Amino acid sequence: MEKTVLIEKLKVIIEPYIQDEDAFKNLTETTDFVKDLKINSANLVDIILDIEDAFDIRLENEDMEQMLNVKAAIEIVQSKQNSK
Amino acid sequence: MIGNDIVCLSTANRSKHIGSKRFLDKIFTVEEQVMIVNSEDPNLIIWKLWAVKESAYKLFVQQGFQPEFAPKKIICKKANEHFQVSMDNFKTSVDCIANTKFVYAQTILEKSKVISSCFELDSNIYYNQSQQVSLALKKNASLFFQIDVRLIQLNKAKNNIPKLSYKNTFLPVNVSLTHHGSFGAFAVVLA
Repeated sequence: MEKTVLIEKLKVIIEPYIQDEDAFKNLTETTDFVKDLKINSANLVDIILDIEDAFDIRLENEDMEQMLNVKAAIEIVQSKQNSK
Repeated sequence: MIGNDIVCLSTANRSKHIGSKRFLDKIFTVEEQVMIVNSEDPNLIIWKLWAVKESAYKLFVQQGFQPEFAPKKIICKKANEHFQVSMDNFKTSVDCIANTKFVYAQTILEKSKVISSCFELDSNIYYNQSQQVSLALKKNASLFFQIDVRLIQLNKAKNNIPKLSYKNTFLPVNVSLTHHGSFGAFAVVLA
């Protein structure tokens, strides 16, 4: 999947959980889920599970540990899709 | 050093996946899952354990743990009224209280007196909520040290660790702040 398409799909998933609208509007690859978007860590697991469903992949706990920003999320989703 | 965490139950229970096997497997050890499924109010135990893990995590980061999102690595065991929490070589004891509206967890290394407060927030805007919690903390520090509240600053040091300073000098306290949904809390202890 193309990176831009992937980012758009990711944005739809995370939007319900963001608490900083401006950071969301200006989302880039370096945007951090917690520090920038102010997503509560309690919601990170919801996002991880939504990503699993949307991309039809399964994320291991080691993957989850790395998923702190948009770039890391994209890389992990891409590598999971490529290894399918 | 001090760590705290508040969970607003009405906000937290909006979680789409709460209680599902996949949700539990991502966050909780087998032993913790047993605690949850044997409870009369599984959601409450889920958020209690969550707040306990989160507050311990904040403490461990201050002790040098490198930030990562690995809730399952933080292991909680119930010990009387407390939770014994460990992650790698880090260990701490966490207190947790709950009512019908929120869950609050707190852990402290120092033996000195702690001031902490949980309260309902006036605004539902994230930035204003952060400001309210920060101001409540500063007012307490101002009373304690008898200094002008307007000259107290709250900054985030490395790894997002909060620090209070007065006229550009760190105050000799450790602090922790938290807010979620409609509730906020701060805790402060002499370093």
